[in-house]
Amino acid sequence: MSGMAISYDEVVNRLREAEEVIAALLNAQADAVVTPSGVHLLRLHETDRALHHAKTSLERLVEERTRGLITSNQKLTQEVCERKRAEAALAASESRFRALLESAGEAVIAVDKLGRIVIVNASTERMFGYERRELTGMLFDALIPGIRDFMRAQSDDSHSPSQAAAGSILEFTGRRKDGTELTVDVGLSLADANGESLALALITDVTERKRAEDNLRQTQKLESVGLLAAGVAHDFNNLLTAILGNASLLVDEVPPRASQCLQAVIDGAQKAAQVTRQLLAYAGKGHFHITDLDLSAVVRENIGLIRISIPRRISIDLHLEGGLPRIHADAGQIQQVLMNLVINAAEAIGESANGTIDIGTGEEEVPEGQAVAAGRYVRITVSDTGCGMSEATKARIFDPFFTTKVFGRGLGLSAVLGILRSCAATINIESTPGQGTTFKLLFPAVSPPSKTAAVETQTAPADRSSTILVVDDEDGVRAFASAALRRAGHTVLQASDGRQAVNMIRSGRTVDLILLDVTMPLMGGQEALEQIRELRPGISVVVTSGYGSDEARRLMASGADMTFLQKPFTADQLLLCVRRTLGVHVP
Amino acid sequence: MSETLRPSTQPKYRMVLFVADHEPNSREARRNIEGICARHLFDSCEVEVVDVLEDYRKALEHRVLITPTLLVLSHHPPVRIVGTLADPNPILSAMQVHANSSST
Repeated sequence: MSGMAISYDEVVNRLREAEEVIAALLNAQADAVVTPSGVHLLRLHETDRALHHAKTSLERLVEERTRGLITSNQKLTQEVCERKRAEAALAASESRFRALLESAGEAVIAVDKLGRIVIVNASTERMFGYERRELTGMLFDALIPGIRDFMRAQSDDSHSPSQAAAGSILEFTGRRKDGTELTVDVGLSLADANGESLALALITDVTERKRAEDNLRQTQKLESVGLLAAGVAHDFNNLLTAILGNASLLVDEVPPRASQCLQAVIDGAQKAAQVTRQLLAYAGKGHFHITDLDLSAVVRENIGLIRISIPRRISIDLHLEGGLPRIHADAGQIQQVLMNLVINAAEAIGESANGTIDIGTGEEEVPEGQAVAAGRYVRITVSDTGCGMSEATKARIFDPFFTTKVFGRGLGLSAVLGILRSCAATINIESTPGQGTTFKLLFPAVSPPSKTAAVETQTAPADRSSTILVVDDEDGVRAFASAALRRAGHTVLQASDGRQAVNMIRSGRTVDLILLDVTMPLMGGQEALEQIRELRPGISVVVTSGYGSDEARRLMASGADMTFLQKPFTADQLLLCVRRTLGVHVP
Repeated sequence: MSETLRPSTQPKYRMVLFVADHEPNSREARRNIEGICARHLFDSCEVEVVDVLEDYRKALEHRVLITPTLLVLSHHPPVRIVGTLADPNPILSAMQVHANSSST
């Protein structure tokens, strides 16, 4: 072919052919190339198809997988949603449970098999003074000593409370972090948490309730002893009136030697009367005359008496404030309180030692939130440098008949407590064994300070002959009173009960004054007085009683026109009282 | 070795189809030319099929560079059509047969 002439058309033709070849190659419509050295298979088409097939199957696979993925993704999303919902519900339920647990007033404690605390709530922290992280893992026994032994004793399983123990509420003594003790009610039950058996304890702090119960019991005890004391004092006062009265009548009429003996009887009866006065004071039923008092003045007036009541080697320091607010009290009772406290202080200092008793007064403002009601108080303190008291003694000193003295009757401080109760006053004791004791008394201040109470005149009007009706069921009392009155020149009528007295008045007997006992059989003093007042409205009455005047006035209901004479009384006391009553009521 | 697709009557159109064995494009080209012959040329054609793997010199003689290639010999100069012959029009125009008229 070389050297051969090629026409233009031939060139164009060949170029077109070449174009077609190239197009076929590009379009993958060729499968072999023919060259002078041989044929070369292209297999392009096949590769392409294989590629296409692979691509198609790959795409299908991808599509299938994608579809699968979408399905499983949707499923997963749904599952995630459900799980989230379940988790949210669980979290809500847990937080509700947690909130309930935390807001519970009781301490809730869960204990594992080893007796270690695994769950506590906020009340547990407050009740025992530990922080939560300290409590977790701590032995339950550390909070409530002995509870594990109890649980063990109640059950075969050393951990679980038995059915009997579970559900019942038992009292234990718990221990706070600071070592102080508290009384708790513990309710035990069993709980199963994820297969782990837990003992659940519900603990209520009953310390305050117990204290209140103890206080109530103590108050009730004191009240019942008070009633007994008042009854005993009343009966004794009647007997003492007969003894003291008759002895006082005879003392001037017998030879000197017999007179001395009688005087001893009188002294003894008077001492006995003091005992009954203290009994009545303890019972809060003593005879007293309430006025506005200056405590500093009362101490000053009595200091002479106080000094001679204690050994000389004991010195008394006074720290008395002037211008104190007044208090509502009976001067005699305050004297009794003071004497009792000072004599106790002197005895605490002892026989051989020198010592000091400090008596102080002052004003004190008690803020809100104290054991004593808030307000203004007048304070009196009696401190000694004596032997002090143990806690056990301190707890019992106000009990009637409790004494640490060899010859003590155990009524002194009981009487003090009775008097303070009737004055709405409080008492506080601080005592350290070996160092001394301070009694601090707080009396409610009366405001504004009132004028000094008028001093009662002791001068009686002159004697005049009157007719006096003596009404008393005690023969001894009636006989003595009649004898004493007759000796003073009075005409005496006698009645042994209220009914007899009323009948005598009704029969028209002239009577200027009635000496009337309160407690009598058939008709008591109160009913008799009512009927007599109807018959003779202006009649003078002297009421006598073995109880105190307030008690007698209460029994007599109308306290208005009455003079009160506390049993036991001497002939002189009776005559003075009669004179004063007649002086007031008879012009 | 070549084979000839012969019509029963005397052929009017003569063609040579160069193929490479049963390679896919070659196979499709054979199928297509058979179809064109049957549908448009009413069997008045003769197609010689040359397998270049058996006789590549004949291809060289006809300056055939790739398979499948159809040579329409009845046309002068011979027309060369490369590819799978999926479109019948280039063949028919080379034979001066119109698809529409031929189908009638």
